Formats: sequence, structure tokens, C-alpha cells
Amino acid sequence: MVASWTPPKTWVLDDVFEAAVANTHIRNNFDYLFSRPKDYVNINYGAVQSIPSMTWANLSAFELSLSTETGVIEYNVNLFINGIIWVKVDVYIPELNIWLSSGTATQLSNGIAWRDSASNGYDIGIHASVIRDIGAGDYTFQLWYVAQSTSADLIDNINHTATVKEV
Amino acid sequence: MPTVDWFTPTDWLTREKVTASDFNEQIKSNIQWLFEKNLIVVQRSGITDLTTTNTALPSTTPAASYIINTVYMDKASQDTSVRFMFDGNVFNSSSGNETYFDIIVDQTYFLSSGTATPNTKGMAVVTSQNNARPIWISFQRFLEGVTVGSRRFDFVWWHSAGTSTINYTNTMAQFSAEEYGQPDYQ
Repeated sequence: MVASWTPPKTWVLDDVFEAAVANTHIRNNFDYLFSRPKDYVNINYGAVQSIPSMTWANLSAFELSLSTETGVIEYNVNLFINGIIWVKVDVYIPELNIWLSSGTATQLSNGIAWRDSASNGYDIGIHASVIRDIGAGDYTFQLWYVAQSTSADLIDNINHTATVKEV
Repeated sequence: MPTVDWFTPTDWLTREKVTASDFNEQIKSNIQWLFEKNLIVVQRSGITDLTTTNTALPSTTPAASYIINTVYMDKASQDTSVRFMFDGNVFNSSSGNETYFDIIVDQTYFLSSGTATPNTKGMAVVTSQNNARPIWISFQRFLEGVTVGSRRFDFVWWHSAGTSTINYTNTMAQFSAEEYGQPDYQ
């Protein structure tokens, strides 16, 4: 459980060092900084997982949520894919109606990462990290993808991960 | 960039008189500094692509054509470390050509080598499959021993041949430097 954050107090002459003030401005704030907000998902599929969409689609199993006070977040994704020529990924935040690629409601056509295999049949990894200031609030992070062909698969017996944290 | 300064934590002494000024430096300012972090991010998207044809190794004060972005960290605190991140979509005009990346610290040395001459392939390399097929490059790297004050970090690139491109037009490239305290290298 992340403690609540309170903008630290400006101390003045003759301030009384009260327990309640200290707990709010020192204890709780240090607790907050020690365990800053984060969310993550690790998925190991026991069998190949088909993701056949040739139009942008939500990989709902990788949805994350976060409440942030600074509003600055770092999003990381690692997917391992086989059987396609290329795949692109992006992240949509419905509460703000923005894409991480553009910071607006209009998505960049290649998303936050565009990874290309030399030819069908090769395993490729998509690894992307994005830091963006989205403002303080409570948010959902949806991982979206698009593949060039209908044969896109998430590889089995490996960890596919998505993480988001306040920075 | 933090809106407040970092103050080296005090070793408090028995019977020491604590003033409001002490609390504002040691508690208010330092908590706020940790909350905001010393993080500089440069994002490029929706603008004209960046290209290079440079094949020679850069110097520590290279021509502008070598520099992808310069990041200034104005409030490096106690002797600390910095985490660099770079994510971007890279092309080269011919299959097999290599594109190299490095970071120059304070116009003095390269992150790849720790000297004024970079490693031949820098600190990261991508090899082109062909011009139509981009390669996403994503790397992170720590630099330890960063000293107090203002620091300059130049993200630079060069390549083996052809024309290399970082795609800004329809995807995002990002460069960042984040103060990170002291990692334990093992």
C-alpha cells in the first residue's frame, strides 16, 4: 500500500514539532517515495498465442493501472513474437484519450515501437521504454498492437512483460 | 529538473539546535527533490526525420551533424550516477550497414570507452536489413561517479556507410538522463 503524498511543509520559526504533522509530512512522504506507484504484468503462455490483427487492437491481458502524484510515468514493454514481417505497439490511456506515441488523441502510425523481422519464422523481440508527463491522476494503460500479417504469434514458454511506474 | 536543491543530509549531533531553516533544507527540500527527481527527457515525434552520413569516429566536441540531442543536467547532487535511456526507430539505406550510438560526457569522454576516443562501434549498434525495414533500438546505460554541478551529455551517432535515419515522422524517439543515486555494481 502506497502512503499518501502531501507537499512537504515549509517550517517557520516557533513551529511546534507535532506528531501528526511529522507523520504527514515526514513519515508518509518517505513511505510514498520508498514504494512509489507501479504496476506490471508478466505472462508466460503455455502455448503459442495468436495475435492476428492487421488493424490496431487491444492486448487486454497486458492492461495496467496506476495512480500518480507527479504525473511523470515510465512505461516499458517486452514482447517476443514469431511468424510476421513486422509488428507495431502503442499504449492508449482512456482517461486522457491519448496515445503514448504522440501524447494526443491522434496516434502516430508506427506507435511507440515498430519492429521488423528479416522474414517470416524468426523470433523477434519488441522492447520499448517511454517516459511521459501525463499529469497527476488515476490511469489505465492499454497495450495495443498491429501486425503485418495474420500469422502473428506471441511465443510460448517465455515471459512477456509490461510495466509502468511513477518516476 | 527539480524545482529545489538537494542538500547533503546532516549528521545530527547530541543537543544540536534545529532551526526552521534546517528543516526546510534537510526535510522539505530533500523530500521534494526525491519526489520530483532529476530527470531530463527529450522526445522527438511528428517532425522531419534525422539523417547522418558520417562514417568517421566523432571527437568529444563533434560537428553538429554527429549530435542527435544534447541533454543538460543542471542540478546533479552529491556524487551520484545517471541512467541514460534511448529508444528510437533506425534505418540505413543498404542492407548490412551498421549504425552506431554513443554518449559524450561533458565534452570530455565517451560513455563506451571512458576515454576521448569512442569504441569503434560505440555503446550500441544496429545492422540494417534493408531500407524499408526499420530496427527499433532501445538501450539503457548507467554512468557512475557523476559529480556535483552542471553536466552535459551529447547523444551522438555515426555509421559504416550509406545514409542512416532516425524516424521522427511517424513514431517517437526518446532520449533521457535520470539521476539515480548509487547503484551497487556486482
